[in-house]
Order: sequence, then C-alpha cells, then structure tokens
Amino acid sequence: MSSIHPDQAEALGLVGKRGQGVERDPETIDGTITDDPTRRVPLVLGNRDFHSVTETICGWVENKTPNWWFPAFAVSNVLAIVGTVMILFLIVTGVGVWGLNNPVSWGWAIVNFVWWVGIGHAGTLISAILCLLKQNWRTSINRFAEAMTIFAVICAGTFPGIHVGRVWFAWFLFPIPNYNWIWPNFRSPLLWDVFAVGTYFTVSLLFWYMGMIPDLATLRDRAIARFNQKVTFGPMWAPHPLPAFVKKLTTVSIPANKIASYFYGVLALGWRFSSRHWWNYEKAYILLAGVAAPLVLSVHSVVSFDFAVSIIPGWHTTIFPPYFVAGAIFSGFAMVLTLLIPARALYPGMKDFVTARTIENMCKIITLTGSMVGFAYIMEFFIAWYGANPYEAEAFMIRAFGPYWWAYWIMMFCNVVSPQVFWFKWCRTNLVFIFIISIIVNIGMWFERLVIVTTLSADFVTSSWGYYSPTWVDILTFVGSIGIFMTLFLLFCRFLPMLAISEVKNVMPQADPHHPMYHKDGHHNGDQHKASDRSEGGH
Amino acid sequence: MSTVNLRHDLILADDNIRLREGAGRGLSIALLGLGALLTVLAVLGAVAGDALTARTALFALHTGFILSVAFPLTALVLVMIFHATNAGWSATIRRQFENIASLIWIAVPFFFGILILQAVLTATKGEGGSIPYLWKWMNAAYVEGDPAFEHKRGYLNYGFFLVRSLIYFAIWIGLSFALNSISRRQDEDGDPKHTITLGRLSCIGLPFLAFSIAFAGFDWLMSLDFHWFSTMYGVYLFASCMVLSVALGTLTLITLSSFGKLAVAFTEEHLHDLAKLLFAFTVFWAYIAFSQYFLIWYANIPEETMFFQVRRAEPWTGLSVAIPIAHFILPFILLLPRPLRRSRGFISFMCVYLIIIQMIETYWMIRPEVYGVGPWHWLDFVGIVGPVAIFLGLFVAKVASGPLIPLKDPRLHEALKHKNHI
Repeated sequence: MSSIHPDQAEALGLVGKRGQGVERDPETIDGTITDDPTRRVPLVLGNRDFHSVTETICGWVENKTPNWWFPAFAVSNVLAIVGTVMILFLIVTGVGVWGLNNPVSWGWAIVNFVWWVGIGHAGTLISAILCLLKQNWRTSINRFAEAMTIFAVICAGTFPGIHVGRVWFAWFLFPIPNYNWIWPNFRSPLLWDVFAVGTYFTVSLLFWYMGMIPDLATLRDRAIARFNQKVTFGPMWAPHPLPAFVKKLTTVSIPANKIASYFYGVLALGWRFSSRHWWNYEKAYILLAGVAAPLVLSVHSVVSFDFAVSIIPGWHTTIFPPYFVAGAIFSGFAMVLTLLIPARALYPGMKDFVTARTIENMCKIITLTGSMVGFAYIMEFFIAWYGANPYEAEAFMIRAFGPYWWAYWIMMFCNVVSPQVFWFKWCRTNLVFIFIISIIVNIGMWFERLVIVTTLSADFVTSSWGYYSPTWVDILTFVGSIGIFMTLFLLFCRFLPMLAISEVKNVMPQADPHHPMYHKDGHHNGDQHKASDRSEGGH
Repeated sequence: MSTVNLRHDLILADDNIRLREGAGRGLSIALLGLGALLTVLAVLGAVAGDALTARTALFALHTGFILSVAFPLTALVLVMIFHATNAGWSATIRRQFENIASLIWIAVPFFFGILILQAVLTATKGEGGSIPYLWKWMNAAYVEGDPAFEHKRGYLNYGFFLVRSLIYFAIWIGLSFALNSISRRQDEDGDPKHTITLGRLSCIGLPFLAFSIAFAGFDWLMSLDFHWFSTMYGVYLFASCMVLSVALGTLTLITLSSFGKLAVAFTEEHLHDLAKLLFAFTVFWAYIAFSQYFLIWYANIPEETMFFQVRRAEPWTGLSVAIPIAHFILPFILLLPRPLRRSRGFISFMCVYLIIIQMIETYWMIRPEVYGVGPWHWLDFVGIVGPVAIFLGLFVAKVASGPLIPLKDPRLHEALKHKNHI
C-alpha cells in the first residue's frame, strides 16, 4: 500500500476510496454522513494503515512545494509588508493617522484586537475542551486549529501594543513599576487583558508545541533516513518559467535533509518514542488540556470586561462574559472552516482524515454558538427595555436605527440568521456553501465588535455625539494583519505536520487491541459492535 | 471487567434492570407523607401567623416550588443534551434522568398553589391591599406611581404573566412527555429510528428550552423585586440549578447499584463521568456567578447593586460569604482527585452535599426579599423541604415503575463498554 506515493494516489483517484471500492454517493457523501445510531462512522477513511498515515502527513512537508503555495505566499507577504509599513507609519506619525475622534476613542484597533482574539478561541476549544469531552473527531483538525489560534493571538496582540501611541512605552502594560515604584492600575481591565491574553498565548503555544513533539521526531527520523540525499533546488524562489541562463546560475544543490534533520531534531527535544515518553506525553497532554479549558472561558471574559466594567450604556451588561465567549468560539470555528476547506481540497489525502462528518460537526457547533450569540442579543435587548433605563434603551435604539444601522443589521444577519442554515443537511454537506457561510460569519463577528465600539459615538451628552469612520491607514493595517496571519499560516502548512499523526493513529481501528480485526476467531460473543470502538467520539 | 466479553442476556436480565413489584413504595409514601405534612404546616403557618410570618412562609414555599421545578427541568436539559450530541456513554444512565424530567408537570399545581395562596393572603391580611406578598408588582397599592413599574406594565401584568407561565409549562411538559414516551416505545419495539427522532426533537427543543428557562427566571424570580435586572439572570439560574439533577440522578444510580441492580450498566466509569459533570457545573456556576457579581460590583450602579446590597448586609452576610466557599471552593478541591471521583461513597456524599448547598443558594436568591426576617426561620425549613419531599416521593415511585435502563437503545453496547482511559 505504501509503495504508492500519496500524490500519486491522488492522481490515480485512489485517495479516499482505496480498498473500499465505494463510489461517492450523494446521500452519505464520503460514507460518513449518516444518522444511523447503530454504528459509528470511521474517523479515518481510505482503508489506511499506520504507515500510509505517516507517509501522507509527512509527505505534505517533505514533498516538493505545491505550485499554488508560492503565489499564495507572495500575496500574503505583500499584505503583511503593507501592514508592517502601516504600523511603522503610525509609529513615526502618531495615532492621528487613524480615524479616532473624541467620542470614539477606540476604533478599528480594538475591533481588530477583539476579533483576532475571538478567532484564537477555536484551537484551544478543539484541543482542550473537546479532548476532555472525548470527541475523537477533533484529532484531525486540532493541530491545524491550534496553529491558527497562535497566529491569531499574535495578530491580536499587535493592536493594543500599537494603540498606545508611543510604542516605546508599551512596556507600561506589564506589571513593572515604571517610575518611583508607580505600578500600573491593577483595577484596569486593560491590565487584566495583558495577563489573560499573555497566559492564553503561553499555554496555547505550549500545548501546540508539546503535542507536536512526537510528530517532529517522526519528521526528524525521516530526514535522517534520507540524510545524504542532496536536494537540487531550481529557481524555487523565483516565478516560473525563468530564462535558461538564470536557471543555470541559480540551480544549487544543498543538503536539505541534513538541515531538516537538525531543524526538526532540535525541536523534537530528544524524543525517542519510548513507552515512558508516551506515558509522560499523555499525562502532560491531559494536564495541559485541563489547564487550557478554563482559559478558553477566561480570555474572552476578560476581553468583555474591557467594555462591561464601564458604565457606558450598551457596554455595561452582565451577560457580556459568556456572550463574548460564545461569539469567540463561533468566529473561531468559522475561521477554521475558512482555512480548512481549501486546505482539504489542496492537500492530497487530507479528505481521508478531515471527513465530511468532521466538517458537518463543525457546522453544528457554528449553529450552536451562533444561536447562543443570538440568545445574548435578545437578552440584551429585552433587559435594555425591561431595565427602564432610558440611556440604555436609547443606546440600543441608536445601534439598530441610528447612523450605524447598517453595521447592526449586517451583524444580525451574519451572526444570527446565517448560521441557522446549518439546520439543513444539504447546507452542512455542501463545501462551497459552508465556505461562503464561514466567511459571512467572520464578517458578522467583526461587525459585532464594530457595533459595540461605535456605541461610543452617541454618549450621554448629545452635543458631543460624533461619527467615526476609518482612514485608509486603519483599513490597510487590518488588511495587513490578515497578511501577517496568512504568512505565518502558510509557513506552518509548509514546514510543520499539519495533522497530529500520533493522535490520528490513536483513533484508528488498528489502535484498539479489542478490535474484531485482531480476533478473527470470533471469541467475543455478545459484542454487537459493527464499527470501530474508537470512532467519532461522544462515548 | 473485560470490555470484550459482555453477556447481554445477563445484563438485561430482569433482576438486574428492574425493581421488584412494590419496591420503594414505603420510601415513596413516607416522602409524600412528610412532604404533604410540611407543606400543609407551611400553609397553616402562612394563614395563621401575622403578615410578616405569612410572607416568610410564602417565600419559603416559593423557594420549594422553584426547587421542585428545577430538578426535572435541568434533567430535561441533560437528557436533551445527551440526545442532541448522539452520546453513547450515557445510554444506560439516561433513563434515570428521564424519570426525573418526567415529573415536570409538578410545576403546574405548585405554581397555581402559590398564586392562590398569595391571593388569599393579600385578601385576608393585606391590610386593604397595602402589603405586597410575593411578587411586589402584583400589588396595585405598592406599585402606585412607581415610574419603573409604569415602564414595565406592559410586561408585568397578571394576564400576560399567566399566559407566559402557561407557555413555559406547555413547552416543558410537551418536551418531557415526548422524549419519555418515545424512549419507552423504543423499550418495546427497539426501532433505532426512535433514536433519530429523539435527537432531532432535542435539537429543535433546546432553543425553546433556553428561552423559556431564561424568561421563567425573569418572571418567577427576578421580578420578585421588579426594580432589579440582570441580563445574565437566566444563564445564572440555569448554571446554578444544573447540579441538582446531575446530583439526584447520580445518587439514584448509586443507590440502585448498591441494591445489586445495574451491574455493568452503571459502573465506576459512568460514575467518574457523572462526577466530572458535577465538577463542570460547579465550576460553570462559579464562573457565571462571579461574572455577574463582579460586573455589578465594579460598575456600582444603585439600581443594579440593590440585589447584592441586601444580601451583603446583616443578617445575610454570613450566608453570602459561605455560599462561594461551600458551592465552589470546597467541591472544586474535593472533586479534583480522580480516586475520589470514582468512589461511590464519596460521590454519594457530594451529591447530597451539593443538593443541600444548591437548596440553600436558591433560598439565598429568593428569601432576602422579605425584609425584617432573618435567615433560618422554622417556616423556611418547612416550606422548602415540603414541596421538594413531595417531588422526591413521586420520583421514587417513578423509578420503581419501569425498567431502569433503556432496554433497546441502539447505543447500549457503547455505554456498557464505556471506559475512561485517562
């Protein structure tokens, strides 16, 4: 089986059906979409053995860079550079280049910060909370989602840093006495943000990295096996095709596998696959999952405190913490889908791991969290009226019918109405449709934060009302942050194992010593199961 | 226990999954008798005492009503989550939660009992309608000229209040009846299609349940003092009460297995996961309760702080300090070690403990609205335990009335093999 290279298998149309002979059927898609409660669908398709799993996932790293990668990387890079230039421009000029004004002293920067932090929630939810809930389908997406989390939090962290104006004073954010033992204000939610986001980033990074160590060791060992094979690079870094003379000049042979073995070797921290290593690994994994689970709640709760502890109408409401958390998971899952659906189409063999069922489950989570957000909107609106506070009620009326009415209704449509489509099976199984909805949700969640922030434009005193609109610097900084995110993400796809090899193997039937395939003599009478014990999760 | 060789015929034998005829009848009758006695005592206390005593008794009975609704209502949420998530591990233990949920109808007689008692008390010792009994807004003399009430009149009026309450009852009784009867039908015909129906019904029902619980919380508890409001209140009520049904269900399962029932169907593994749920809901409560308290404390706006102001002042100070410790810190530490979570003795203790703590917390949410009477009045005990004991008596009879597990659930084998590897 493993004699066929994954790329070749894809070309031959074997991936996803190898050994099964099952044609795609419109009802069950790849065989995993079914209501049948008598069986659990397999998590890994294609009749794979352990070796072919390793081959496929490592192949994405070891094979020639796919052609689509270079233009994608180039575009992301250009955007990242634009973003960086905008930040430099801001620093040398001052925050006046942004559209901030007197009532709206927080603009796109805080919107982008909250948006990116929110997106960064999916990874830890998938890897920690779904791990504690034993949802085994998460194994094929957790690495991917965790990487996305890390990069999203990096983008998020940028904005408060540059928003302080004089970035060289950004260290004031940290609890260090800056002058005459003057400490930062511990009662300020902005300081809690530093703790919350800092802790979250640290734990997510550790979780991601620790989970990756066995897979890095696999890549290291595979690189060592090909130690002396030199790799001849053509004009890799330049657009194709190049004139012949350039080709001659730039063709170089370098010991790429040697470099890779050191790169992965250092990162693998001496992992040798001994059973003691695995024992420690499993223990550490579950402990980190336990530590990370409350962080999923705490980060966005603290971010919601940024708004809710103030006494500004429309901001101060007690449902903010759980409502922000639900919204964060909502946008995070949408972003995972936005990235996963193209990746699944572009990487050969990925469909065997990220099954239609996995995507369907994510759609269901989007509907669940989207409805929670809708619930919170309705509670807010109801209590704004019930509370009999004219300012509160007015703030909500201005949101819905004031100068930013369009933002409000975009938010309502994208966050509350659009995820409801996933009640229908066709919508949950049509990839193009899911992709579009995932983008709509991302837009909606961005607008949610905009609606919250622009509440500032109409405060208690009518004479100080204003209207906030972004400048081109605001817009390009935001676009640039997407570029930074995509750049990091594409580097991850190219150089690190995108799926958790060991975890995927763990949920395959072969990993279960009680599986019928090992007991052909049938001595396990009374055991009715048809599919694998280790499938799908929800046990 | 080997996970491979399961003798389904032994597991599904009658002496393992059914109680003998008449089992638990004594306990059920004793609980019903006790409950009826205490409830009647509370009602007598209300009718015979002075206005303040009557208010105390009515608030205590109201707390008892809320608690005896909270048990089946949260069990209904749990059963629906099991169905909606296609859970396999819970197949064997689900029936006991269905049993709890099936008693949701108890809300109706209690609710109308409370309303009638309030009307009688207002008529007999309302001193011409000037003393508000339970819901202040129901008293025309009290709300006279209150601008906050004028604003809310469209929502807080007798007719609309009744209509809303009837809608909640319709949603809850409808869902619990449908889920129970389909699950029992599957006991007979074993059709896996019923599982699909149950899953769909639960998914569609959950949003209705979410809104009805939140608004029932607004109507029955938050509007006791109509000035106060909190957007989090529905979530807070849900978060605090969830522990009730998890604890009662777990306690029932432990009791049944201590009588030699449910071998293999309810094992340490299920116990472990139920204990995790207890832990999870304790922590979730702490998160929600803290967030609500913290935001109100920080903003320090009088119309919001009034709820905590009353509870932070004497004579409620001690209880307000004790609840976070007893409801969060202690259970958090005690439920963390794995061996404790797998110990039947310890978890039964924790279940009783958490139910009592939750009863005290619900009491703390409701009773401080009676100004001038401190905690731990004898009527509090009588009025709260009465309705809850009636509920428990009915529940014991319900458990004994049928098979203890869903006999032909297609995911039964998953639950029987359930294991916590880590």
